[in-house]
Amino acid sequence: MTKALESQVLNLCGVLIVVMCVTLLLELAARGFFHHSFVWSVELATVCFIWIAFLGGTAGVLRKEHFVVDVLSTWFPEGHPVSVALELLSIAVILIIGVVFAVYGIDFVKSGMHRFSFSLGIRQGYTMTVMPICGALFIINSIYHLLVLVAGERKAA
Amino acid sequence: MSDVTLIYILFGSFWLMVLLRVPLAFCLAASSLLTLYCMDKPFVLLVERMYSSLDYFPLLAIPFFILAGYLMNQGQITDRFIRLSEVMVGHIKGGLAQVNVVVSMMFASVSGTASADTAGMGSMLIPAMVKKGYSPGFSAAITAASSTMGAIIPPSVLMIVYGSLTNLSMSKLFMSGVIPGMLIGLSQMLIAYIIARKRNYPSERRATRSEFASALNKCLLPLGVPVIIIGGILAGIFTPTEAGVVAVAYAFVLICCLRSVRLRDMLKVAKDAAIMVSLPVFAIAAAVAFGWLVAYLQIPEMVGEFLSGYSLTPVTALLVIFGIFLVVGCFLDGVPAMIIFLPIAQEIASTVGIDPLHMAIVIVMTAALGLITPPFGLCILIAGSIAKVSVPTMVKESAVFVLTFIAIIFTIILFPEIALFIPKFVS
Repeated sequence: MTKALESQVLNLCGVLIVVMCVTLLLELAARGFFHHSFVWSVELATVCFIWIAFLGGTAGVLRKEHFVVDVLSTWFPEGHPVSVALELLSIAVILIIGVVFAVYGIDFVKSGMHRFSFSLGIRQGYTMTVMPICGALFIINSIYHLLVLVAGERKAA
Repeated sequence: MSDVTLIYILFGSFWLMVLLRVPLAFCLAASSLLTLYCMDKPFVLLVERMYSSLDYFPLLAIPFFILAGYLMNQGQITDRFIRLSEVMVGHIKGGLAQVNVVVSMMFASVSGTASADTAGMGSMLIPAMVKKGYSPGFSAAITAASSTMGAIIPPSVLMIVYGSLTNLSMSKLFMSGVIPGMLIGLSQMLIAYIIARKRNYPSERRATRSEFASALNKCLLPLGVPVIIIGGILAGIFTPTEAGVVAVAYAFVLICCLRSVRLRDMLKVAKDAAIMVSLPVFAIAAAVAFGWLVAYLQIPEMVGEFLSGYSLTPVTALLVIFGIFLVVGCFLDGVPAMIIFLPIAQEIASTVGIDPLHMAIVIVMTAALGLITPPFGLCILIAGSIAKVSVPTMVKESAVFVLTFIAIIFTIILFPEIALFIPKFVS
């Protein structure tokens, strides 16, 4: 299920990348050839960018692709109890950040519902919903890793 | 709690988590969160800071240049650069190592990021070099080291971010990177030559004129990218961010015309690119939250006050700034490091009166050096994983490139005209 969710998230990110590029190209073409500027283009591209960053960040958690400084692996290779404890710590930190994003992200969205975006004219809260969504995905992905870790340890035992 | 205690908590928890193998972006976010808790501030501030940090148009240059580099790699345009480099310098001792450096110079003028260069070139050149008898460690080290030029030779994402953080002229920044980038490239070619002689690495057959003409002909269109990007920015036709999207469009049209990627594969390319883009950008968002706390706790002012007790000259001040970014670069990527520590550097610079452009090129070069310094040198990690070489071997093989890089930065600190000659001449 987690993989299917990741696939959907990445599909959305792929579409957002295309929208981000096309929007700005349209703006450039309109300005260059027709001396007309779409005021909404910059804002739309920026919103796409924010969504890509946070949603892609959740996929990075699932794939364990976020950058780490690995100075301890020489002493504690994979499977070593210390290595397992370190992985647990990482999962816990991501889970905490996920909970903060999910819980306080909702407050953040509510505050955004009182403000309107400058050029798109929509409530800013709608674009801010990426934060609680990102939090929920962090929680799901870290629980998935936790379960995989526990299952692996049981198998090893 | 006093501000000093909070500073210890902020930095102490960050370094501790870094050493305990927590992903960097989450180290930044979690240490900020812990500090907010100790300050009795609402956690929503973390969410708000991370979101609003990306709500900044100039930062869009980062995904665009990463994407342009990625498309070039996927579209096999880099193969053409390799062929051109081969006919240009392949006959010199250590032919493929020389090719590696020259192709990175070309790629640097197309993509503004070093990691795309390492990943793209590395996957092609490292196996080819190993096959020809070069040691895997050296092959990976020179690939990583030469990639750093991507962060210095214009268009450079580090420079775009630096310019947007400081309001320095982007064109002057770009121009100041040309000579230092070339110097690094030439020094790496010299090192490759010396090592190749010592280890008896082979050279390639000297290419004929027709081979050279054919390779150049195939690269004419791809080499149009830097002309369009840099020309467009210098002529004021578009902003650096817009230049990024033009580079993406150009690369896309090019790979469609060359039919090197099928249209139905484009969604997969976009999905892979999304991951590549989001990881550094998510770390930037966390770094901005961390950087906000650094500013809130008035750390730059404290450092400035501390250093005002010493009679610093511009050179010693630049050495201090270099030292800060060198240490930080060992653990953080260039853009987050700049976001967090640039205010401190600016505070130091303001006390002694350093030329902002001179400081900019020193910081950008030091941030680029961070890509090949352990333990978190992104380029040595990528190249090492391609070559299947252990980190200690990578560190050993990269040492000579790191030391030469440091020597060049020192030279630029002592003789700023090396970097500032072109921007001054043009203006």
